[in-house]
Amino acid sequence: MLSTNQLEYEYPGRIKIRFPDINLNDGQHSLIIGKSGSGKTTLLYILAGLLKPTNGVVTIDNQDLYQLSASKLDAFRGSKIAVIFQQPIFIQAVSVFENLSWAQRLAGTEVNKNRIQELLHRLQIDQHAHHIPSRLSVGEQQRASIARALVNKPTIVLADEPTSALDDSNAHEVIELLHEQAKRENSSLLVVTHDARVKSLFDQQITIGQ
Amino acid sequence: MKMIKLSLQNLFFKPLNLMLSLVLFSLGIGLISLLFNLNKQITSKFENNLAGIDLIIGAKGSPLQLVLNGLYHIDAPTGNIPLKDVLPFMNPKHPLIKKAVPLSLGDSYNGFRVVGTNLDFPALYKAELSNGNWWQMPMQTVIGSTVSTITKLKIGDTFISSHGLTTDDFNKHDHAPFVVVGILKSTNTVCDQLILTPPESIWQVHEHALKKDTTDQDHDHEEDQLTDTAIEHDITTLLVQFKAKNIMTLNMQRSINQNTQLQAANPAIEINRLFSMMGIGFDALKLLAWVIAFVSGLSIFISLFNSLKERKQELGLMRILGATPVKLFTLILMEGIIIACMGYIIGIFLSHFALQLSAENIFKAYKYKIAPWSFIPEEAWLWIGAISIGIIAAIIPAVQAYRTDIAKSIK
Repeated sequence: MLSTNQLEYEYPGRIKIRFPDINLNDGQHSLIIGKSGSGKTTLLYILAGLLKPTNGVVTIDNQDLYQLSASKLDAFRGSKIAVIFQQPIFIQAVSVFENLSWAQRLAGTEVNKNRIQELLHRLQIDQHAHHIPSRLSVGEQQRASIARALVNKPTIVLADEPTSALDDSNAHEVIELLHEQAKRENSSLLVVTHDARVKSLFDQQITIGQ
Repeated sequence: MKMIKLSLQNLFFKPLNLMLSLVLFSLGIGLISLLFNLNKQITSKFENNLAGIDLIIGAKGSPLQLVLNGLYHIDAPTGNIPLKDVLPFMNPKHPLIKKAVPLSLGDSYNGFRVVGTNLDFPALYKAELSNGNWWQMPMQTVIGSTVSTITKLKIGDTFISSHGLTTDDFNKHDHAPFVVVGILKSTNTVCDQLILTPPESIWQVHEHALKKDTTDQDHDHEEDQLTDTAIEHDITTLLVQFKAKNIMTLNMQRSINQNTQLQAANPAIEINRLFSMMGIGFDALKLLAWVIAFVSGLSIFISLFNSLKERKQELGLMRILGATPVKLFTLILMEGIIIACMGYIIGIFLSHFALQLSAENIFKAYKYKIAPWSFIPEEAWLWIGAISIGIIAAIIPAVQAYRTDIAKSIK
């Protein structure tokens, strides 16, 4: 469960951004839309525990994120929060499989090879398990980053413009995949986008920057 | 452990960068280690061979040459001196001199020098027989351990020496052959590479050759006694040990040089002079090696720094996945240390490989044996130095990794 209360962020020398409160139950999927410059990405960083808000509280699984010490926050983020980026990012030097196992290891959990195999199979990239990420196509890379996002069964998956670089059919496919896979893990899903094409695929929408 | 593996994988992901760093680093380390080793081996060779000799007396010429030839057997003799001129120094009742050992040089067998001397000579090097007996008469020889392993001469074998001190001289004597009666244990000194025989053998060989043309008389040199009838003979050098070193022994050296046709040289001083001359070259090379080591440190720094820029997103990702800043710091630091370790190992291997190659040449030229695969304590210090360079080169990139601003890095 994720909830925010009166979040505000102020970049030095710029206008203060106020964010609407968000309440997301387990397994619930939601879309955050807003024009570019409206603070979407800032909100995503705040929710991911990467950027301390000027004011307000973020609670995930009844834990106030910014009350945690730096190292506890790192561990908490690793195990409870997953982030999917606009451009897939990987540890370049190791295989797709090892990228997933590092996601488990860095979160402080045991490496579970079966879990990794299962996810790679489900996302149909098991044939690339032992290739380095740069050998995969962009679509395959995005699927691999979805697999990595889910490997620790996170409470919440945050996706930052996951479709903006993709064409219509691929954009649809990725959102469908996110819905479907997040549902299987009972993770909440929060997609931040300005991409109008994906609006119709979400029941709940939050608009910021009005 | 997994972190070290990831550091390795990161390094091997950029093989050209890795190779450049390794080549530079191992060159620096290898050169420094080679210099340390050569310096050590040569110095210890020279010092072992001093054998407590305080003064060398021989013909006029370069004092360094006198020492190199008389004590180290690597340079040509300055000439011969009449035995009668040095007889006073060999008097056991001499007030200053404890021991005086005459050497007659001029012949060799397969590049190994034949030294005409008495039994005091092997005693200087604490050489003991491993086989056979000491000589009883001229033309009998006792050979050093290196001579026996290389020439395969055994007790009872005979050989003909050639005139001159190198194998280049094909002037074989047509005299009665030398016979091996004893083989010495290894002493790790110059004694190992010598063929020892009484001085009468040398005189016999040479004077026979000289007088053969004039009168074909038979000589009964076997009867010669060093201090008695043999005074018309020549020797090459006299090795002198003093009872005690004082102002009188210094005066004696000066007086020999000023008032006689002989030359007296202090081997310790001459060798120090040689070392200080070589030292300039060594110092220049050492400086060069440190410059290479510095440049290689710089190359590690630059390659880590550049890879860090490329890997900014990746480091941000690792933070998002739960890595603490300390983990990223360790990751980058490890990369520096791994390059340093690998460079060190390659460098040390290269240096000893180079020693192995030069050992063959040194042996061919001087019959000196060096041990290419023995390691010296300085190499342990060098290891600490290498790791330090790795750490220093990696510390700034590692701090940067530690400070990775996640929000900025993944944009």
